[in-house]
Amino acid sequence: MRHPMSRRQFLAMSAAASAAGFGAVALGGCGDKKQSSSATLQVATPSKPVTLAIAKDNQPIAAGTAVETGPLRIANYADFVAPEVLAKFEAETGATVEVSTFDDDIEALSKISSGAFDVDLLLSTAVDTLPKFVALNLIQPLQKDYLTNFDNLWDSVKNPFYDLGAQYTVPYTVFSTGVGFRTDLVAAPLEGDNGWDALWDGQYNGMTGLLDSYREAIGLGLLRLGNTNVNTESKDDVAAAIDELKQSLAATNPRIDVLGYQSLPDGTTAVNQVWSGDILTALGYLPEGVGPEVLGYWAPPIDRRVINNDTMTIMRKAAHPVLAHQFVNFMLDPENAALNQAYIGYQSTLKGFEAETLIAAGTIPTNLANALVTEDEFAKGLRILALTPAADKIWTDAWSSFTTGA
Amino acid sequence: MPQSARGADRPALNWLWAGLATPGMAWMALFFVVPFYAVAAVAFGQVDPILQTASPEWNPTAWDFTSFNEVLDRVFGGDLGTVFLRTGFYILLAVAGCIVVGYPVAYFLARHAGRWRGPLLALTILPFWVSYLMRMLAWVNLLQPEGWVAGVLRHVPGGDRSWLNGQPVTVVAGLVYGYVPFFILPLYATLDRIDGRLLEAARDLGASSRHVFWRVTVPLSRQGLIAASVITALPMVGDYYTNDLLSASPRTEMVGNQIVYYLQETTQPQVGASLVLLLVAVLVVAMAWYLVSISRAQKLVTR
Repeated sequence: MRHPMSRRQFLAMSAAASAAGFGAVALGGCGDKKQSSSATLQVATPSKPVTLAIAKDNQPIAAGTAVETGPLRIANYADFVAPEVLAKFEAETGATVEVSTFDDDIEALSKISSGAFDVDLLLSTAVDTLPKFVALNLIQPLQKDYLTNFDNLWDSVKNPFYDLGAQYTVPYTVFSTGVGFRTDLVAAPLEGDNGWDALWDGQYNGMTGLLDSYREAIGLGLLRLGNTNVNTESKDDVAAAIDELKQSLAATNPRIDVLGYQSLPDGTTAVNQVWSGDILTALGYLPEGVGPEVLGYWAPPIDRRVINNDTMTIMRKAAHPVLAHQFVNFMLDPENAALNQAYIGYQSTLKGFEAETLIAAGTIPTNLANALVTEDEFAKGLRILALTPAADKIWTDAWSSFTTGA
Repeated sequence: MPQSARGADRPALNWLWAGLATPGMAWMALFFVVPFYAVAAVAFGQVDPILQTASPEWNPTAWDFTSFNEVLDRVFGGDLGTVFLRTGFYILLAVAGCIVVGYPVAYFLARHAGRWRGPLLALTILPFWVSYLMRMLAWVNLLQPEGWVAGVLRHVPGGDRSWLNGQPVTVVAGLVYGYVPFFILPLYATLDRIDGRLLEAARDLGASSRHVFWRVTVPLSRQGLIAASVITALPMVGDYYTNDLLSASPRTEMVGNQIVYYLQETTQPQVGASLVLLLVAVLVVAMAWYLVSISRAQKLVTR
């Protein structure tokens, strides 16, 4: 499986970026030998959407360009695209597909930036890392003429706050953060407004897990305290959240990893903070003879639910840009998206991917319908956004301190 | 004069062998010095403002010790100190476990295995064929609630617990299991070299079997014991996946886990690099003790 843990790795913006709020912030003068010192970052939040800049020498490819013979080279998390989907694309286009994998978006950015990854397409670009790719001029604007399936997307994601006009990006997957549980191992199903209380409930001592992601885990502490600012830059807020998590540690001794999709099916944990895609992935890990009804997902109330997405981007130096556009378009086909979702668990943002349709198609069981994000919820959910370096240091050190168990 | 007498005992430098050894020694020196300097350059360097990756500072005059000092504060009297102590404690327990498990095996192989010695030695080496990671993953399966080992342990007093959820005993046992083959082989080599005539002499002088073992075999195997302990303890110091796979709890966090966290999952690689430097400092002290004890022992032998 992939390791989405680090996918949520924020980009730490310059302190000036936060001071300036939205808009472009020049980082010139940050260091004399820094490769990226003269680049410009554009910070986006839902309330302050951003039109990403397009350099004069970085225009979309011309429509109608002859398609390359391939191979199409993709960078992605391990196991984060269905092999059947790749095989189908190869059969349809005659081009081979090569996938290079990475563990987190910092690694992807660094390898693409240094040239270590010479790829056409980055299949899962985190939204908060996107401004870096733009600032470093690493990705190219999309030629929409090739994206004939673009209209299949939810209307709300056709013009996302992080990339107004969807100039560079097309959404790949969407997911919420909640609590997965084993219906047969908990005293009562997790429900109501505070299902996460089970992670603090001593009766589940030795049977719980938290996400090994400081943004998500500390975010959980904040949300349980009623603080919905999951991007807080306040040291006191973070300290309070850590104290909250320490109570969970004292009561239930949670595992800290991103393996909930395995530990819930095998019964190592009964209550586990997970991403919604993980609980659907978990279906594939259930032991033989165990039905999907043993899995449950508690999604926090929408005003306290974290929802994020990632995107597909084409590299500026792509040797096969037309083929890459074709692949993006291919993934916007509902049939292919369904094939992909059945394998990776994570949900696409296409129309028709509503719970009823997927349940009817047998893709997901009825009891996990709430693991899907609706278009309406997507608009209302809390987003994990980039922190300033100073705030990021507060978060990472606090999480380090928590994980020492001291 | 004693000085010149001692000097006369030493063989003259053999230029042929020195020449043959030079490339290898240069190779090892290069691949120790360069990475070590790179770690220092990261620890005392900056972070790229956009990439958020390490921007090493190669010029020592421009080194920035802020992060390193913060790490020192956290290690001496702070939360990271707990992790260092816990790591040391786990390693002590695990090495003790290796001695309890490994010494009798090595002793049996060296002295009593007879014609079975060859096959049994091969069996001892067998675990090397399977990667450490795979062997740990096997334990994850065995210790799951539905796993065979967990199923058996459930019938043992105190064995009915979640073995994979923050149990220090699981982590230490995992370390012992993973590293004990590395322990047995060097110890076996030492035990095998003990001159049997010394043991016979002890018996002729009236020592019981137990006395021979404690008064002759154990002291003569002391160097092998220390070497085996060092060889197993060193990789344990930086081990992080044993804890990751078998516990993943803050209650069993080891130094290696903190290093991986800071180097791979945060935008503060300089903190991870600083922890590496501190760990190296601890190891240098341990190695110095090892070398001193070896040279003392050699002096005793040659006196």
